Amino acid sequence: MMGKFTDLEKDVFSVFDGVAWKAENILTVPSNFLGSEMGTEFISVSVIASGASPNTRSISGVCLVDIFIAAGGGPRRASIIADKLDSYLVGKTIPSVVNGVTQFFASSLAHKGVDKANPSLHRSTYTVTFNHFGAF
Amino acid sequence: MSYKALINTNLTRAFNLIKDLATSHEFVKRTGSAFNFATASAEHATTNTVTAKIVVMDDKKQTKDRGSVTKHFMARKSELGDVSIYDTVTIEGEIWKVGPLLQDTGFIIMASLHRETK
Repeated sequence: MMGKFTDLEKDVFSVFDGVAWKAENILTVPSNFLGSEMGTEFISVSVIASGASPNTRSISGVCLVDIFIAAGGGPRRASIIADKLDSYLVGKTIPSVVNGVTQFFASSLAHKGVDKANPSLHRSTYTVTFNHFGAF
Repeated sequence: MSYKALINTNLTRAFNLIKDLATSHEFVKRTGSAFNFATASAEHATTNTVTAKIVVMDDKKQTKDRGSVTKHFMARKSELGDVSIYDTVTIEGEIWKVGPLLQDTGFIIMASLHRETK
């Protein structure tokens, strides 16, 4: 039996495993994946489940998406990707693969500047809050 | 002979001259890595085995909160190729995970190996 953290992760991952998101052709990886060929545009998804919860099967938090684009071209491409993420996440309710439901709320975007590890990339951070309600 | 070939030839000679300081080990190398969101796992297009001579330059053990051992090694790039954190190497029957690449000159690569121990 899986718990709330795994159920929540499955809900978030199901968005990026969907046919519609894959058709956007934006390379998407989760945190703690170190693929060898990331290219010049990709996003990295982290689920931070550290917020309050109304019961033991539920949890709230933030889905954090680092958006990497080519440095030097201005922030527009990152904003376009953030808008795409909004269309898949903000205001959406995702039925849990196992049980329960995950609801996404408001989003924000911060342009962080040139990536420290790879100065040929620019990093922006997109965040969207969520509540995951696990079924009893 | 080109300079690159000359350097590689002399590196091979150097690795032979230091005799048992350079030891052969079997690396399991995984390439073409991608993440599968359906299975929530990293998948690798190819997995192949390469036997390469390495020179262990440093051996550290830290026991502050748990036992972690680290080795730094160098190898000929022409023999080992590129390495990634998904690669492993067997040394004296123990499996070590390849850590971050420390240096890659195009001829010599230096990287770390990691393992948890008691």
